[in-house]
Amino acid sequence: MTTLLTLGLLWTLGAPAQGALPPGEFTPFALLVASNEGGPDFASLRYAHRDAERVRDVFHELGALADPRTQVLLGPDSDDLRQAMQAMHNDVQKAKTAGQTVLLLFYYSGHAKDGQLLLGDESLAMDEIKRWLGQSPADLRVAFVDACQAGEFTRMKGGSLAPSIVKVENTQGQIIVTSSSATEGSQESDEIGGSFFTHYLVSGLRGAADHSQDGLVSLREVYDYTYHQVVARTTGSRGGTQHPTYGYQMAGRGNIILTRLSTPSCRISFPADLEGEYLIYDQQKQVIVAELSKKSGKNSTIAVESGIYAIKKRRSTDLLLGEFVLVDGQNLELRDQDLLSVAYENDITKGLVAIRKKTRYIGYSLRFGSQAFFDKPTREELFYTVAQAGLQIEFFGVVSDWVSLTFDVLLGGGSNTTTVRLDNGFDQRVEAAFFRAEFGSGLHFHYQLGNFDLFAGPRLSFLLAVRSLGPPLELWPTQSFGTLSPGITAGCAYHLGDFDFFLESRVHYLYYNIGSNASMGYGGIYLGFSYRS
Amino acid sequence: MKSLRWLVLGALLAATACGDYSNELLKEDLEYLYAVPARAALEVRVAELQARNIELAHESSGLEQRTDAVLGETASWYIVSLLVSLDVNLNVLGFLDLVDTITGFPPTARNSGSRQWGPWPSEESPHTDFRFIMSRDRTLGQFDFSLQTTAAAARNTPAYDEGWAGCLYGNVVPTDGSVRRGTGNLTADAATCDRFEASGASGQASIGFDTAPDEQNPQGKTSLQIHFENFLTRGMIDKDPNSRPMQADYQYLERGDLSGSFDFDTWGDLDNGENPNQLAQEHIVIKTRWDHTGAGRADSTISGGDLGALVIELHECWNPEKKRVYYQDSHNLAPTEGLPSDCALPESE
Repeated sequence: MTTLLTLGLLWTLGAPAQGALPPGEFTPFALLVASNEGGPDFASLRYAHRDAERVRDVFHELGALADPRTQVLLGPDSDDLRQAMQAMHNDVQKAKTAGQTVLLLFYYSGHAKDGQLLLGDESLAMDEIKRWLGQSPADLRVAFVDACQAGEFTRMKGGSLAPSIVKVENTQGQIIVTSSSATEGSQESDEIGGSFFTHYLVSGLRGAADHSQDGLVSLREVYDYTYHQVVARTTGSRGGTQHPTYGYQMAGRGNIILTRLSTPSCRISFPADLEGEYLIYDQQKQVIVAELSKKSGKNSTIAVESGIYAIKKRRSTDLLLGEFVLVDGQNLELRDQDLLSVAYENDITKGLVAIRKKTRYIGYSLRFGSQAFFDKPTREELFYTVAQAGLQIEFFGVVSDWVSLTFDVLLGGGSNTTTVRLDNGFDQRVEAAFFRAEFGSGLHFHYQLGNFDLFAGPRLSFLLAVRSLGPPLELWPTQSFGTLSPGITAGCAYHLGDFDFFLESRVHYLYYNIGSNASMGYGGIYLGFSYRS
Repeated sequence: MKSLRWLVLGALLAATACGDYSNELLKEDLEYLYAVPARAALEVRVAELQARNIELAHESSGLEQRTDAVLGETASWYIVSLLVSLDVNLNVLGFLDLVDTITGFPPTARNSGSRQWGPWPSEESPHTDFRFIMSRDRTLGQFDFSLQTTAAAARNTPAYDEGWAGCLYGNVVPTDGSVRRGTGNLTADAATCDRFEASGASGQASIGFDTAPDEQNPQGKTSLQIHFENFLTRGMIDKDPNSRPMQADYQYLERGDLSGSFDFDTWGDLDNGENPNQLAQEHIVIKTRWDHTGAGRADSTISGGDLGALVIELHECWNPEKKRVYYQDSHNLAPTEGLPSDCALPESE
């Protein structure tokens, strides 16, 4: 029955929407809420916050949504959410008073149970959200709820647990789309780096759902695309098949256009002759932007921002893979011959699991540089400027996809002369052979920019300084000093195959308390290369 | 709460900081080290003390043997002065060699306002343990120092710690901008130094010194007032078992231009006991002066002892090569030679 309905839906959506309302006629407002935490009884979600940001991005790029009318709440408690709801209500009221036609968009990604949205240790009744939506003066209220048992939301008049062709008579009313039925769980996946529902929702909004090929993605199109993709993807999954639901209370006529593909700066066009499963991966943000099931005989377009994208097509024996840089206004017309055939094990975009495997590697680096204290007398008389060589091991993907853990050692030494001024004004020069070692550990927060990797983060090192004195103190024992020293590091690496060439600088604080007390600062700058294995 | 976090972090960093890597510690150690007067700064050097002159001084065995020098030979009383200065250097300043050796090592203990080296045993004094202690009075800018001895046999007993006594001690106010120069005093207590060795050492030698530069001597000077009180060291006894305790006063001044004076007032048996009928000691007063070239004169008075009421006055001058250019004595012990006008310096008052 579902299959027949789906076929019917696809047939119906094959024609251009009649009476489509351009998004420009709405003034959209959006409240986007995400909570990774659902209290002690629920495992933490990994991608709820990221999903909310992706939804915000796609509506900003393609849906005429702008920051002043958008509020994103990540990890709020119930009071935060109520305050945001009230503020949004007031803003909508003002817009209506000003004579605008208002679309209110609500999105939630997180845990839900027993009619409650779970916000960390707190909760908020879905009924309260529904009342808020119902009482909003907005002309059209659209809610996407990506949560377990979210179907509870659609148990209302006009609600349905199956895909349906909604005959919207005009644009007055309320539509709620949920990721699952009232009894189902909603699943997120490391492979796609998000929840199935939001992943396909965003892909659809970017153009994968534009069944009519008119460059406009309607609510009906995106729901049907999302429904079929989610059902297909979750069938047989460990969490069970997930059925998005669609509930409405509508009056009047009209189609609801959510995104306009001509809006963004760049587009990726898939000509009619292409067929297959395509995945578009943002190299800089390291997220899957969209997934497209391309049917032969129809053009498809995915709208994206300027950036660097990897496009992958799955085949039975190998992958077709290509990397493209899109700049303002560029329309990339993709051809399979533009992609290179690579083995599956070399798939850099094989879902986030694969990416995480790729990022879960170890970098071994060798570096050379110099370390100096900022205070001139200190670096000339006590902790001398030193040339250093060092080794570092960097664990990528252990902390997170974009945070690496480092352990390093730096060694250096030399000789210098210290001038010791006695109280009677006599300056005694003392030769010293010195050695400096530093053992450190830190976190690097990475930001990819094409082949460049910008990184920065905190570090903690143990600094050991040793010196052996010359005449007239040659019989004096070797002096040493060791202390923990917090600091920060920042640098830039350039990827070249398995090697990275980097420039890194560090700044550290040191508390010195031998003979006198002083807060000191020192820094180092290093050039080196690392090998990733 | 935030300040508490910083406090905890600061305490953690402070707790983890450890070691002795410090210029302040070096500075303090050097200040103690450089406060000890150097032997070289306190040495008596009569008119360019040179190897050949030292050799000549050692060759001389008595005053009367040198009074018959003739013109052109090395001046007799120059050699006498040299000989006396060597005795002073060896007998008193030898203790400073031991201090130099000790302070060549880092202090054994560092306390606020003091340093201690040792205690250490000594091969040369097997029954004695030594330690060297310096303390500092920042208000006065003065360092006190004391080389102390105690009985080695008393180790690990309370008597060991209670038994320390000063053997070489004094104080110094260091001179600004220089090392091991200053103004102060030094006392060598020979009896205390050797009290566990049964060597027969006795008495004290006291030195008041001033090695600080002044207006006339911007490069520095050496001014010493030395008093020997029944002073007899083990070194003196080892050298001559018949040595008698020294009872003498010396005044020595070396200016920056190397001119100077050395006056001594002592008692001695001029014939060194070779005549058993003349064992009494004579009173000898010698005033020696020299200019920056080394040319100088000695004006001496010998009285008492075997001389009875006789008072002998002697005058001798020498040129920069230390050769006699003038000699005259009141009793014609040797023929008068040269003229007073040949002397580079006038007679002392």
